[in-house]
Amino acid sequence: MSIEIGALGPGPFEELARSAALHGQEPIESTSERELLVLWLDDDPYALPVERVREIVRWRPITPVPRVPAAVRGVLSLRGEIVQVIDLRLRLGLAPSLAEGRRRRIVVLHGDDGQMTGLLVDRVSEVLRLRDEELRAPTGRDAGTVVALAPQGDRFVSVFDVDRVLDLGVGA
Amino acid sequence: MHHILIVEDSPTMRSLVVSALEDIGLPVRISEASSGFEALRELPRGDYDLIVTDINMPDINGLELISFVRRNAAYRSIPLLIISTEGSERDRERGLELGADAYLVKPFDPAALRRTAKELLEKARGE
Amino acid sequence: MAARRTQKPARNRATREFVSEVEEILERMRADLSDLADARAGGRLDPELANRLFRSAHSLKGIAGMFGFEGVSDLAHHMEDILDGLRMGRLPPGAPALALLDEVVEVVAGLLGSGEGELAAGARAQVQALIERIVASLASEAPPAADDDLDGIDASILRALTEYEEHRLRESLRAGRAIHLVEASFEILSFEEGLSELTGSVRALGEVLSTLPAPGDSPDSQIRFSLLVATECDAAELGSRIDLPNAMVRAMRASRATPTQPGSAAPAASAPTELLRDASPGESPRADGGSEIESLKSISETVRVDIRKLDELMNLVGELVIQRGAIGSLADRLLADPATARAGLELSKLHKSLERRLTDLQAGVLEVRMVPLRQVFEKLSRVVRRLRRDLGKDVRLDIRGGDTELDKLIVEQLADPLMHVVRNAFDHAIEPAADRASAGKPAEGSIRLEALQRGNHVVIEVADDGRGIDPEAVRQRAHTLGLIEQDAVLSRKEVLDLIFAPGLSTTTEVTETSGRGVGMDVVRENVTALGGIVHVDSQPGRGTTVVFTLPITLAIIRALTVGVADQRFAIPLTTVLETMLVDPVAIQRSEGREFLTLRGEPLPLRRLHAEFGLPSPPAGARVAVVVVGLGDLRLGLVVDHLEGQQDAVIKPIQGPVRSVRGIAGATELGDLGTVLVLDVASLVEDAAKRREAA
Repeated sequence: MSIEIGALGPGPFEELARSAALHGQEPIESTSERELLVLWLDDDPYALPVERVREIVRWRPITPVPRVPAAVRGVLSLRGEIVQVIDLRLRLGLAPSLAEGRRRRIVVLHGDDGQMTGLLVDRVSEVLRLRDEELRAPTGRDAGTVVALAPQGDRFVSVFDVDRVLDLGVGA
Repeated sequence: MHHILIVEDSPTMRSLVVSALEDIGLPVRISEASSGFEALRELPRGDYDLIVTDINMPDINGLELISFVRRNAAYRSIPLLIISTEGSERDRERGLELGADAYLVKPFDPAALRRTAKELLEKARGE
Repeated sequence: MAARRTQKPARNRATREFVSEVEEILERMRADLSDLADARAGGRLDPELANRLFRSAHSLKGIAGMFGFEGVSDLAHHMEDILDGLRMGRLPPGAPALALLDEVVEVVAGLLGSGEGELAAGARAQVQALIERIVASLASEAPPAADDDLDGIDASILRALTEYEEHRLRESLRAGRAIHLVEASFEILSFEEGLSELTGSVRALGEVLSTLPAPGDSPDSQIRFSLLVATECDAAELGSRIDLPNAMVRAMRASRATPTQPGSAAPAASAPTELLRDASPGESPRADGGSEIESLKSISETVRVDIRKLDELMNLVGELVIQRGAIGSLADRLLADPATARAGLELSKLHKSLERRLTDLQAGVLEVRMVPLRQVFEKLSRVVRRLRRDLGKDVRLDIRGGDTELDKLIVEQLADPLMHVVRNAFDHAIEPAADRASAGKPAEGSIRLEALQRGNHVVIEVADDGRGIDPEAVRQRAHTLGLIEQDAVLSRKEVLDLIFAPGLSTTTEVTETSGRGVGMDVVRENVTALGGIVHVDSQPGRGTTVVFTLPITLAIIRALTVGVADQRFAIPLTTVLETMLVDPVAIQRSEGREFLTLRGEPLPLRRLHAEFGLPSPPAGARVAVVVVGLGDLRLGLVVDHLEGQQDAVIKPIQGPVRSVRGIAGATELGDLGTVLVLDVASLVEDAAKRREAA
């Protein structure tokens, strides 16, 4: 009655993590390019894949929702659709933002199930384009939200696995 | 107050351009158009000092928009900046031939965008 | 509540999304290819259809590349080549090209089914062989004519062509099509409607290569557009077909009468009948010339509208309704004061008539969104025809009630669940011919698809005359899966209902046609999300009927808005029995639970502050109580104040938190912003459970 789909190849993010982890251990033939949206919490840059970004909107009043994890700031209406907004700072266990509201942005993401979610960040700056082999493995513990480090000038940008960021350990 | 029109169909890219230009260090007001048609409707509504446009868009393309702006007495002197994707050199050249003032390649460096935009704004004011 | 979020398995959602999108694309390509084959029978190629196929191949190439399905991506890339050749007339739209495309689509489906991004050696060889055949077929086309200079085309237009547009222009010239310029002026503030009408009528006859705007005669208020058009028509013919008084057609290049390629079939011209077919799918063009004119006229009276524009309109109507409410209360205030009573009376009359017209407007907007089910039914019929051909299984699909109308959004969301149920019937329910013969049934199996309207609902039935569902097999499987106890006492209906449980199906067999990777659990989930219900009835040996019941329009409800702390909530008015202001001294307690005496009966209370962890009002403040009911259960919801009634469209909440107990969804209420809608049923149930537990 249904097709078994568990046997399909890895998604882009498993690949990305693998590319980062394998670096230096075996030659990587892929020269595929990735586009990453760079966003900031205080002075720390983070990035997520551009193809997961639906749009970026300015900060606007958010309607709080009861009975949800603290990282969920509430919901807002985007052209008639109601989406949850996650405060990325709270999601990563950081203190609430001190940044001025003018620069704060809500990055609206496509979920892996076609649903949208807003991610509240301090600011966004640019799109970074790089090849898989430039990625490095993250320094943090396994199964965190960061799957790779991407070089930008003389520093590294932490690259998120969007699905892990959106996984609050509730529902589904 | 400098009034800037940004024409870009990708919402992500549009936001990045807006963010970069907000910090330009001049008093600016920014209007956004998500297509060439929207830009055509927007033009008569504002007294623009700079137009920043993409080339590949669904209804009319950036070259057609540039051609329109340069043929219209009311808009002829507005500086025009093209931001287009890598690999469309020929289209960028066409844009300059049609009267655009400068171009940037996506992905762009926000500082370079601010610098170029500022030059264009100040040059237009000086003339 | 209709809008409550439904659960979806988290595992492999990304890949599932990918697979289902590719399957959708392939399904669309199959349908378009079959339409293309039908249309070709009339000796003509529909350029719009070829274009759509081209775009499908393009999307397929993109997403397959992203997921590392290189074989699929390569094949899609080569399909683009074939389709470009077809739509440019470089390739004859003959049986070989179409058969090749059919084959590529099926190979892609196979590669997808194998589930491997990396191709196995056998599959790689298969892909390679196929690609070589494509390359060979393209090489056999005639070399492009040398004559592809662009003389005669306005330089001002040429200069504004992008690389791709110029490529299309050169290809059109190579294909021997005529190039014309269609010019028209519009008011600058409203050019889009007129222009899209113009573009639409030109597209029926050819391809719009470029749309160049220029200042109009009075540049402040007018804008002129020049459309560069490639077509088989001459300028006079094109002009006579464009029904716009100020449009002008200028010929730039005449078409070459003989196509450059020997052996090519008649190129993509558009005879009047072709125009008809484009504009009204599913209706056969009439034969005599007189009614042809009549039909052309009826086309121009129909407008295609983007569904999002209708959503915007509906939101606008919602805002107007809110403002009407404000006018009403202003009239009441004026009436209450003798000094302004006369003005109040006038305003009140105006308000009444405004109310009537707004109600009509609201009904009108909802009506515009209604579309007949016919299109979905026809798609199903195509699928069954194809299955019948491919599998050699003798099954007839009877369709009734295709004219029944539903909201467009609901119709779109219904296509997949219906497809799944029809395929199940075809694959599993209808027995092989030999079994049917021994059961004394006619050799030809039958599936009946019937829609009918019943009040505010539409009922759709999918009935087959196949083997039926064996309740004992369902019971066994449900037990194996741990869904029921071995000795559970269940009615026949309850047993049949188990087929909608996750993971349960009466056969483990996977066939090529079972497709989509969704089970009956997903069918029910999708239908529930639309505010509908689905159930099944079956007689072993006689057949199975699946019944969908759906609301005709979207969930517009009348809601009461209430204030709690600094927040607002909306309560569906259908659940509200009454409201009252209560002095806190009237609230009694028993075992720590609050209640109120209402007409001699105790009414349990629940403070929304406590329910949702919000700050309580100061002690002694007057509160409001909203009495809600569900069945014979009653509950008083304590809030800070009542605000008013609104029309609200309940929308589901998207995001990682799948559902919040007590919240049905949210709605946007004009100036009030986004407001959460209470799920009264779960609040009442929870209160009742707490009482039982105590």
